[in-house]
Amino acid sequence: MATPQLSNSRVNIDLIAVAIALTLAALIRFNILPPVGF
Amino acid sequence: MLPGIALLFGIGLLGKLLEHTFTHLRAQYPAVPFPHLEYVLWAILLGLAVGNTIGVASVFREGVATYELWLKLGIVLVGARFLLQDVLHIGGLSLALVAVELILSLSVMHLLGRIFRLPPKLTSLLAIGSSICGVTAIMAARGAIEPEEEDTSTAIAAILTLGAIALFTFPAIGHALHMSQQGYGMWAGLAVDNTAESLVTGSLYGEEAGRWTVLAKTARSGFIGFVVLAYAVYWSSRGLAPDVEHKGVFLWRKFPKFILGFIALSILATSGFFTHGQLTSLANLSKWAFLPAFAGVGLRTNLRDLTGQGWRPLIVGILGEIAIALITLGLVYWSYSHGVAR
Repeated sequence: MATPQLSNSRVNIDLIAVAIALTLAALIRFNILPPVGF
Repeated sequence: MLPGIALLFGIGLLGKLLEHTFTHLRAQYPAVPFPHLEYVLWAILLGLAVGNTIGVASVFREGVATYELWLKLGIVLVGARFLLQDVLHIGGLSLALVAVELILSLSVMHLLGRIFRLPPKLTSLLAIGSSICGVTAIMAARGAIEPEEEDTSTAIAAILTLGAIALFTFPAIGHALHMSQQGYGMWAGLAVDNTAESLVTGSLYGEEAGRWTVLAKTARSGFIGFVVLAYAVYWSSRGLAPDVEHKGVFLWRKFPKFILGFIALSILATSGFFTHGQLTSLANLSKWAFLPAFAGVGLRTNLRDLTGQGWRPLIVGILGEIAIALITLGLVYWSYSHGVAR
């Protein structure tokens, strides 16, 4: 399957994942995001 | 990109819905043998079914490729569930076990590749994929050793399909051997190659096992750079791949940097930065991130590529994976019976 790979592109998905995770953690820590259920 | 992302979440949510529906139906009609599968498995199976029947239309492909981002986001968020001392102890133990596993599994794969006369670069890809971490390692090696496109697809298909088989066989073996949550989690993290499939294999045994799988698998991923560098140097010495000029830069480029985020969140959690409720929210957010990732790995598994170069690569993959599963099981048992793990 010719599914494109993000890792081939110029963006570093590892760093994007870390940035999103830390942002979400900060939003939760400072109660900007409400409690998340699953 | 949005249609593909919507497809990933749609399949993941359908998996969650199916799990709820069948749980409800089983309670209502206990005599009927409804399937007893968790949402993570449904997500992968639905992805596999869609990807190998109607296929993934081009409008979805860019979004489907984001599954790797969701997977890494989920892993980084799981970092908040670990105390730093556990990361250092079990992560350190995993590193030691991975080092042994690496040497043994690379040797087994090369031996099998030689016996079955596979193209040398396909053998290298299968060895890298099965010893380290599946698709990510194969993709990392692609630029460095310049294999045929066909070799890459075959190696990816073999690693993903064999990982899908582990989803069913590993939990059954774990139960048969009465493995502890931590021991099983370590085994799944060390033996199953694709990260998403490894995490599902671990979590199917229990939530705690799933956490240890994340840690063992993350430690294993840390080796990507070293293994790919070794192969790049080998193939360039034979004039069949470009030279590696700055090895330090090469290692840093190939190092999976999401591991740093995982450790950062573990440090924050250990220092008491989050309340108990906030840690639960972060754990739930990680489950939301894993949902599209598991759907994506199913969509990405192309069974037709498996036999694109005949049956021999698949046989090598199967024999190699069985050997690696046994080697890692032995390593985990040894480390627990000698009190190395706690």
